[in-house]
Amino acid sequence: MEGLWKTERGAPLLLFALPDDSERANHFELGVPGMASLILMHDADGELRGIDAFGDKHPPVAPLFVAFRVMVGVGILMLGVSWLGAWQMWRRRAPAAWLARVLVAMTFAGWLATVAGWYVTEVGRQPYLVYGVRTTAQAASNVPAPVIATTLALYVALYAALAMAYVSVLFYLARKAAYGKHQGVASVHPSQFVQA
Amino acid sequence: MTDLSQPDAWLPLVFLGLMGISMMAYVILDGFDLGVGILLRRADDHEKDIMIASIGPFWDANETWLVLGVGILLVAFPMAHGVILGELYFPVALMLAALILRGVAFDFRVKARASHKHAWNMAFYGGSILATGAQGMMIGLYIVGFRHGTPQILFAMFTGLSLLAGYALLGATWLVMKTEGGLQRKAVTWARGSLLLCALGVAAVSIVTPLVSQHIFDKWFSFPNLLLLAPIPLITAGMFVLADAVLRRLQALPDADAHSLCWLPFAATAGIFLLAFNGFAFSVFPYLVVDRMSIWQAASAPESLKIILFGVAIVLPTIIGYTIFSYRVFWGKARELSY
Repeated sequence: MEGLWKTERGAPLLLFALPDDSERANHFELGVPGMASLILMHDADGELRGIDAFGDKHPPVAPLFVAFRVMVGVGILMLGVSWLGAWQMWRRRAPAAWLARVLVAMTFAGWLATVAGWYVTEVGRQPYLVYGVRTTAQAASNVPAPVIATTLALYVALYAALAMAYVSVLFYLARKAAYGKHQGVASVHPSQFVQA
Repeated sequence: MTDLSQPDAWLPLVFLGLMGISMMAYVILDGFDLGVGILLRRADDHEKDIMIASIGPFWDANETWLVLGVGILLVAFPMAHGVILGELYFPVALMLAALILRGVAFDFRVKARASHKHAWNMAFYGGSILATGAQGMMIGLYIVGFRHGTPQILFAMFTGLSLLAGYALLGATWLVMKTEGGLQRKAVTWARGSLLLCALGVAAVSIVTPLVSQHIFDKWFSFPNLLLLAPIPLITAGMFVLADAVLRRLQALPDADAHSLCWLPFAATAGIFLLAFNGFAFSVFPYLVVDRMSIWQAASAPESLKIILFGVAIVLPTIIGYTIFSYRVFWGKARELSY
């Protein structure tokens, strides 16, 4: 998760990097020096165990590294936008048109952060399914792979279709609410929903 | 394993009973709302709304029984869970996809654009058919011990069709009980049609099951079991005759709305399912995987089962309680549902 390949003291908090699983190193690192040690050990010079301490029993680093940063990044973004919205509501009684658009664009932000966090726990536990007890390979079903692939494709197709239907119904209901019974009293002007 | 004073002997039996109750509740309760879905295509647009309204307060709570039943299978009989759900992987995956589609269609058919309503109705109908067919195939594959020859697959397809008829019968008799006027009249006709198909299905499954396994055959056709068990098929047959007689009466009446017996076909059908389920459970017992794995071989450690028993002792009465409560609140004839 920290993208720390070797055990070191005063490890940096990496904001960005491209972890390379074959070379066991990061490219394009950008980090805050000593910050990871400070967060985890409460000491900027504390020693953190690197991935090398776990032999080959570690998860693929790149997906884990990226998923964790997506989760935290989206979380901070949501926090920032919600405070901005609260501030605008307090000052002007209504969010500005551009902020309303940003809010619409962020409809799935919570979902994105949750799924990214889920990947962090699931990928981060590999190669184990029950940590330290049983590996994923040991627990896998003996259902043939093509059958699993077929049903996976079925679910992905179903969820994609339902997600599109969901977004379509959501906009339909929002327009109906904006032009319907709330017309004239709505604090958010209906025109904001037309193009969105 | 027959010394029932020992926890590792009686705990698996208790959990088998609890799982049986959950599965039976699921089949009867979700059976009628899936059945209403199966019949949906035969009604006009206004009747469709009333049909959906008649199951509106109940349908998603009905599905909790499936979650509870499979949950008990997982925590109490993990070995059997692995075998059964592994063998039934494809029909289970299909059933879940169908139930997802159906659940979404239930809400969206009234919330989406009016021009899309027909498509969502069809999705609800298709999801109901597919989920029921998949469940019926699972029963068939389970009875034949998961063998995959051509006769076994044909049998599973037949049980799939039988369950479609069975759920359609539950759904139709539910509508006879819960609706009025033209729709109730139609439901009586649907019920009479599916009654015959359902009776054929029950008879065929009853004949095939003992032939699959010598062990099951001996249980039913040895003395004195033959006499002691005779009431199961006889009462089942009686229920079919009773339901048919009442449906005939209702069909002949000019105004069946207020008829005091309109609940009877549904009750008789539920009775048929109850008896069929018990006959099936008796056939398979003490195995969870026919002739391969007994409930004691499949059970978790008694220590785990004791802990789970506390959980079940809280959860099960709660579910039973709110189920009874919701049926009491929504007692009587269904009217239109709107958002």
